[in-house]
Amino acid sequence: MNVDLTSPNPALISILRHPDQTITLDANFLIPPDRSKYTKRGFDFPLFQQVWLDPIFQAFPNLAIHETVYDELVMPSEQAYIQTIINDRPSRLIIHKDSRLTPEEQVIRNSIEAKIYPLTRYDPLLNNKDDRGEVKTLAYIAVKGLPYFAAHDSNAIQLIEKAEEWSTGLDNIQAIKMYEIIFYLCKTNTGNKKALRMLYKYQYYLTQHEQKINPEWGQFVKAMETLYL
Amino acid sequence: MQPPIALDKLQINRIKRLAEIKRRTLGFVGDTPIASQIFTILENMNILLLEYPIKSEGEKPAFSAVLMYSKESNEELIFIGLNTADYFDRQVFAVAHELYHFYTKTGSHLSRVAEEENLLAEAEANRFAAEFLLPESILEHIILNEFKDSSLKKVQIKTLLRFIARLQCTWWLPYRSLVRRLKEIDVISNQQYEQLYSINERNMDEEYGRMGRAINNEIFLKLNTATNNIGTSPKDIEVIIRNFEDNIIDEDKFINTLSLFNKNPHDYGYNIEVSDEDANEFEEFFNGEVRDER
Repeated sequence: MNVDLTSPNPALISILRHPDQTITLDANFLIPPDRSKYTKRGFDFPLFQQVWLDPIFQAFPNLAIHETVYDELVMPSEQAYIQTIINDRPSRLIIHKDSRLTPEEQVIRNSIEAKIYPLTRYDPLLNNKDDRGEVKTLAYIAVKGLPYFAAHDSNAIQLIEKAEEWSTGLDNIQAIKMYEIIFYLCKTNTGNKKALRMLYKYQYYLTQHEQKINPEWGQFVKAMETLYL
Repeated sequence: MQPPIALDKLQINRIKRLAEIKRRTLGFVGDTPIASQIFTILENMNILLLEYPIKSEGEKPAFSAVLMYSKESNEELIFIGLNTADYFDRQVFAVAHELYHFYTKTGSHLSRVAEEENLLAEAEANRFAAEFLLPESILEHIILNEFKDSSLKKVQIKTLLRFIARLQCTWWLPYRSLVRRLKEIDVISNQQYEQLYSINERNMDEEYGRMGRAINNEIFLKLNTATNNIGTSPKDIEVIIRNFEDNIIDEDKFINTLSLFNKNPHDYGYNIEVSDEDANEFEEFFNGEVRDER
């Protein structure tokens, strides 16, 4: 996936100033990345928890997911971890539920979903699992005026970044990418720097092609500091 | 053998006229065979071709081809899904058959080899496919030119088999379609028709198979082979590559999508590989303690 360092992301600037804002997560922020077709092994859950999940829940007090994203967590370890976070008092994860929408909001939600789903693999008539989480999440947060959606999925990010061109109705939502959160954690000394570097490398600088199009860790950090600090 | 549904003269004339217009529009004038060009026609018409082999299960015939429409924003996408577990000459015929449905009506359409033959629309589509691939007027001209007679009713079976094999290798129609055609235009008798229809034309060691291979081994074998291709046209593959180059899909999706068509990024000059040094670094990382480096 491409790392874009051409201009600062206003969403990240805002989060850097006020990390207590609600940030809604896509499922791929909660599931260990698996690129084991390139490396012999991928991140197992305990390592992913240590490197990524614990730090993000420590850094951001108002993380949220849509209820359908919870359904996408298939591994018991993922479900158990998220359930613990939800059960904490106060709860450390907000769950967006469609049942909480007013009838008027429901109508708007439905119209946004109708615009988004043809651009994904989700079909409301089939209610298939493919891309359902991202479609339901985006439709919900667009209605509720929650601006930040964090994802590591190029299609989900395109739905937001090409909102005007593709008429997705998601014009007021801003995407936050995984590498931006990695940089945030690194700069705020939240988490293990070597582990964050390895996570960045695994996600963005692993293959020969990625090494041609994306900056290596040192250049990445330097460029991000120029953009944001 | 169940007799095919009979079309009346008006229906046949309408189909012949449609096939003639479409052939001419596509640049096939006179006795120019469409044959392998059928796939180029789809590409020029922006009809996406998706090839996949789907074997028949038991008695139930597998589909030959399917025509599908999909509308995204204001753009209509048209696909023909082609079952490549079928013999190649039937694939060519099935594509021409679907073109009839494309030209004459909207909506998705699934074509099965035999069970729908009695339906009028299917009979029309089959007639169109035959007419589109080999117009009746040209067939009559070939017969007259070669046999100096408009009828073949007195011609012996061996001669007819050789004639059909030559037609097949030039016009890329299935054997049975050609036999049926000769009957439809009443140049062979009922007895000849039944005799010709009863042979096993796919057995390459039997008389017809040996004749075909002697006439044009390469093309005859190709027509009688189930290609089992998995793929789509180079133009459609190009869309996948452009989507990757424009960052619409990421590297992992690029690999997965190409793999559906038995392709990989390396075929198009992209090396999606990890160096040994990096692979070892990750192996060490996944195996060891995560020590900090602040």
